Amino acid sequence: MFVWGALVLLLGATVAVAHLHLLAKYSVLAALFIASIKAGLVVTFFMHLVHEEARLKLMLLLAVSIFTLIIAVTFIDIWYR
Amino acid sequence: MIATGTAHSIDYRGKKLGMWLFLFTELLFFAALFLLYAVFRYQYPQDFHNAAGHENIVLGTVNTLLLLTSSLTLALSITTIKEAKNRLSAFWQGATIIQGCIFLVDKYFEWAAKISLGLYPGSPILLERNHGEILYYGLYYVMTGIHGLHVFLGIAVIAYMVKLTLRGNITDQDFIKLENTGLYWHFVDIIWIYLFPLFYLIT
Repeated sequence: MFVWGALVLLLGATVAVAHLHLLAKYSVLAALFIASIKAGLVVTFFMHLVHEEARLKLMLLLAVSIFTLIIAVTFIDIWYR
Repeated sequence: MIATGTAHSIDYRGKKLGMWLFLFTELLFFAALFLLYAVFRYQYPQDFHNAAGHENIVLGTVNTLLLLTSSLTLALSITTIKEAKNRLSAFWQGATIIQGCIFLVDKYFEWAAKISLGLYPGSPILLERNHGEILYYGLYYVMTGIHGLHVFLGIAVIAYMVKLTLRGNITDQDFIKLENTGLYWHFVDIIWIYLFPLFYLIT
């Protein structure tokens, strides 16, 4: 637990620093990517997803996929306006 | 079907699953707001960048660290309750509550600063700004506001858990209430993990 506490804290600090350097258009993707890693760590270890049964992991995957799909499909519209 | 070897409460798996299902609905609830954010930021990138430039990154980073650490302390409270250390568990829950409260206090300062500048939804000063900036502030208030409400409710629930833990209603054999509270709190933390870069770190 302490290991992961340290890791997550480290990640938090690193993100703040990383974004102080001006990135290009890909800053959004980079921000989301790092945020996703942090979220992944929280879900896996703090929320004990490692210890959960496969069915629950699948449900979570489904929920997140629907989330991503909603945004992706909306953008298919937005991009071509 | 019932988890073997663990003497938890009746229908432990059902209760856990119920919490996860609720969190999925919460995820979709916030997803709608993130969708709005995504579309409007795509349409007004410069305005979003300008508006976000006024955010206090230090305060935002502190808040992120607060929630991350509070997730750790709540996880520790569950580890300790499994060892039947109720008082220690309640201590960790208390630590979580304190960090949550500091988070809300920080948010109060941030909101107060903006409102004192006349930048609140519908204000004449805000309405004179660019359209993209108006959208940014609208989203800012709604998303951090609803997230803050979730933090507040989480604090209230954890406070109730402290009471149950000290009274002995939550034990090393039956701590699903605390576990589900933990799931909720971690979820709120994750939402903030995404809110932080999207509102504070727009380069």
